[in-house]
Amino acid sequence: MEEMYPCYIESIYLFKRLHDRGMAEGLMKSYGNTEIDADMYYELSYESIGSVFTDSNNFYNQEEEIETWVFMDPLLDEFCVLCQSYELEHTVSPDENPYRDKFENIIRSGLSFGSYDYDFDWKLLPTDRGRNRILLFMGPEFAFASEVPCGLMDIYDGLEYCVKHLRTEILGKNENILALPPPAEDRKEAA
Amino acid sequence: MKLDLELLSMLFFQAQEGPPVSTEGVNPYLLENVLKPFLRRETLRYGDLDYDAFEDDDLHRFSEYCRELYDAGSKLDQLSATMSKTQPEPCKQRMFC
Repeated sequence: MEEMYPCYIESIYLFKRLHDRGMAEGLMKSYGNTEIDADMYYELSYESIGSVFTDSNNFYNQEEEIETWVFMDPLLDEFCVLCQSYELEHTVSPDENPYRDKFENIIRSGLSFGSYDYDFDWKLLPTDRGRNRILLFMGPEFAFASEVPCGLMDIYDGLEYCVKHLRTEILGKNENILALPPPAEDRKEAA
Repeated sequence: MKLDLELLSMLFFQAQEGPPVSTEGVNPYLLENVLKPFLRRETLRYGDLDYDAFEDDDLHRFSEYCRELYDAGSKLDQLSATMSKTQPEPCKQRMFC
């Protein structure tokens, strides 16, 4: 009997997680007709790094041999806007904002890999220049690129959670509350 | 190496009928649409799967099941190899069943 290597299942797992978040479309276009194979896992993982956040770019510095990934997303922008509103409303500094603290911990956890040859940062403060972004720097000896997409999905899930709670707190919007239909009498009149 | 065929046949009779590894908790879609084509060496593409037919947690149990099945298959291969290497030995006296 032939052994089904873990990477065979891991590659399906990666597609599944992206699919559940509506992020698999791009990858499916490129790899939908590709035969499932354990050897494809690392290529798929690398390709899917750019599928999680809407605007993802990467740059390679040949001299330093460092690859830089920049992750940007409208949801990240919304998070920063809501954080500023929260800080104004509660007269607290960004350092004292519990939502920023929580999200920073989520980033740390999502980008925690067993390698010394990488680093990450984020630019989410109003004083930071340019668009709100999360940065990942991968050195030549970083061998955990296959774990990056799942880490990014965890960060995105955490971002959604923080934005949802901030919306409720700042805007008073509770997404779980559905608007009730008008009473029966009103509906009759309207008819 | 000598094989006790009498003992072996008795153990075969005593063995319970059924799959060598329990499929309990394994998503049936994955068994039918991922494992079967894999064992038959059929081509399976990423686009062929229905990703709504299983949960991501199902893949953990499926992975465990595949490993257990592979281990069971390896043991069977080992037994088969031992059997095929064993030379038949003629009886010293003619026997009638």
